[in-house]
Amino acid sequence: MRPAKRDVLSHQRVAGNLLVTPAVVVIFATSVIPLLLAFFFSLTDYTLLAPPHWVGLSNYVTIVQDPVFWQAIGNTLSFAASQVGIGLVVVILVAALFNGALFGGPVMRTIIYLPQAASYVVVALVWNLLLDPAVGPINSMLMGIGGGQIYFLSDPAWAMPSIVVMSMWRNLGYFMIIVLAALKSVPSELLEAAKIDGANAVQRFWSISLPTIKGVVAFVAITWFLGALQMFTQSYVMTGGGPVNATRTIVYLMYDEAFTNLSIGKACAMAVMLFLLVVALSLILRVILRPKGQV
Amino acid sequence: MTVGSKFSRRTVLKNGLAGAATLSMGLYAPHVLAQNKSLSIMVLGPTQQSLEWLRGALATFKQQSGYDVEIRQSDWGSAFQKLLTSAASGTMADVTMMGQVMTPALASKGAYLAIDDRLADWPDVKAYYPAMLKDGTYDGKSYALPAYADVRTAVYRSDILEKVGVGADALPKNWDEFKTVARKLSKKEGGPLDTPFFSGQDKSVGLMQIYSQMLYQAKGTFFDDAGKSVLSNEAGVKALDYLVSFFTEGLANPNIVYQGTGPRPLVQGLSAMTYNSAAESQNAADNAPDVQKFILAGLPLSAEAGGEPTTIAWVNKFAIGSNTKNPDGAWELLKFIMSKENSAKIAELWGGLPARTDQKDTPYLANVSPGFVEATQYAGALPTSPNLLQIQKEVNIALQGAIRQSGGSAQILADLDKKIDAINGV
Repeated sequence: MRPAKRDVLSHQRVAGNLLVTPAVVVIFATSVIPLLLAFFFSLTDYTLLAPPHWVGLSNYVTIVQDPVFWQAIGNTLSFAASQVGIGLVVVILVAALFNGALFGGPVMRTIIYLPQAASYVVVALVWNLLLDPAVGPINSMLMGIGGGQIYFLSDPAWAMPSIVVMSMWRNLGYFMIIVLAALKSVPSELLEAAKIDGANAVQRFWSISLPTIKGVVAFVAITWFLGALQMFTQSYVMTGGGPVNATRTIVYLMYDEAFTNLSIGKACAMAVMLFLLVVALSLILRVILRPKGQV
Repeated sequence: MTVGSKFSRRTVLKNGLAGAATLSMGLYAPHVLAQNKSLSIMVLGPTQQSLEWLRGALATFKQQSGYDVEIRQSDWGSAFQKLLTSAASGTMADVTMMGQVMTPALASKGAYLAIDDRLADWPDVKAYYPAMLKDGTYDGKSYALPAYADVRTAVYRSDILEKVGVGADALPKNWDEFKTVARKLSKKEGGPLDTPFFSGQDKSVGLMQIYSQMLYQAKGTFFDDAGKSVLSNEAGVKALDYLVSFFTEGLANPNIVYQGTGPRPLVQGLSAMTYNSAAESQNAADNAPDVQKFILAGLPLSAEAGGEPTTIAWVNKFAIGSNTKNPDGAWELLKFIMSKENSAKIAELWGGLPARTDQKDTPYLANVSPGFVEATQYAGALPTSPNLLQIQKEVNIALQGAIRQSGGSAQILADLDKKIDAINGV
């Protein structure tokens, strides 16, 4: 006797639930529970070494009254916006270059991707040396061509732009590969038809390739931007958050609160605020970068 | 015959339990035994050379006491975080090294064992400089023994000073003389340097450390008797005005920051005067050995002519973690590490000066500019506030703004006082 359709569906549902259970457990253990714990601790005066006491919203109130917090928010947003804004243009241009017949393309692609394989700490240390005002090759070159010495990491006006350039250099390869893969998938017949109609390379790229890969570009922009909101290592290794808080980001501030000021409660409150900021910005970016016609 | 008749359920259960008990005892017993005869020690900022020495010393300790000692290590940069998280998780090493400002921060949270009772029965305790021993106390209790001192004083490049006619016998004694030499060295006055004075700026709190010395030289303090921050009083403002004047007069550059690796500005020859410890000499030995002979330590300065030389010692120490399962063993290890010979070796390998009065004839001191050793007698200590880590960071950030002329000294320090009082809750 064949089982009833309802039984089959029921068994499938049970099997499906069983199969996703390990993933759900892992997500709960590593994401949901820590998030709930962070929210709980954000309402306490927890210091790691003493039991937490309930303080209500006072951590949040203290944080929003601190001008350094808003400076860190500004630093974080300017880092993320400038890195992704400029980086996206560079990524698309480089990917377009590699999409054409470029001599030594595969080798060049590998070279551009290589920094991604190195940890941020290693990359930051290398750039520390490159940007050193006394012995760094970049300053040597600048002075060699008659320019002045630039204190890239210790001048408040230069510190954050220097970190942006270094971060862009490090991430370029990864996002370039994604955009390049999208460019490779643009239907060749569309490009050929446009060519027959007399469109030059720039017009073909602007009017056909770019609109076709818009979804991928949006994905790159969102993931890169959200990742940039969590910038910490570069600033920690290269500038120590200085000079005069010029490179202190929101995650850096969280680290300081937790491990210098022993205020886990405040650090958790900042983490919750960053989480809400990331959620809000991702929703906004999704709406802005959503392809036309998609709900 | 059935299986059940020969191996009853009860027999199987009994044998199973016995087997499990034997197995768990077998697994656990060596752990217990090892635990009783094993200890751990955490050292901060070790070099390959210092680790090799430590391994050798601990092998001797094992022969003497039977204790096997595991070495844990951390760089200074993440040391506090590691000590904090290990204290919170109950995995702190039995004996840990720690920096100056970590003592009150962690002792106030119960991370270390008080050792007053043990010190009372230990004759060596009399050998320590009292000020350095006091530095290991918090709230009237002793928690740590000083290992070595990072005593600061005025440091010069003797070869560059000679170019402007300042010999080793005519080193500055007070602020005015110090500034006069800086002016002589300045290119503006026909000297050899763009930035004669290095302000100690680094990615940590180097600037705050130099200001602290100037504050003490001006007879200032961080806190009054009620614990309120008093940096904006006359002495604090005077010290900051003096520091800032090097920048406004073009004798120092606010953008010269030591990155933590490689030669320091004095060793590079970018500057010829700073406030530092024997670490300046060690930095030359590591990065430019030819320069080491030109690193010259003078006396700590006084603010006024004829005043008392004044400086600060940052004292690094060893303490017993409160989570130790073997306090007696940990105390034996602490005593061994802090013995006259071993602590002298630690002072040498970690680039500091001895914390004990009976180590003045230690051979390595012959290679250190005598001024560093002499400065020890003029050294005071920073206040033992549990929030000093946070406070010194805030002071450093405010000073970074001050040397970039972000406001008047009095206003900057008044704002800082408010911030510090808020941190301390007073």
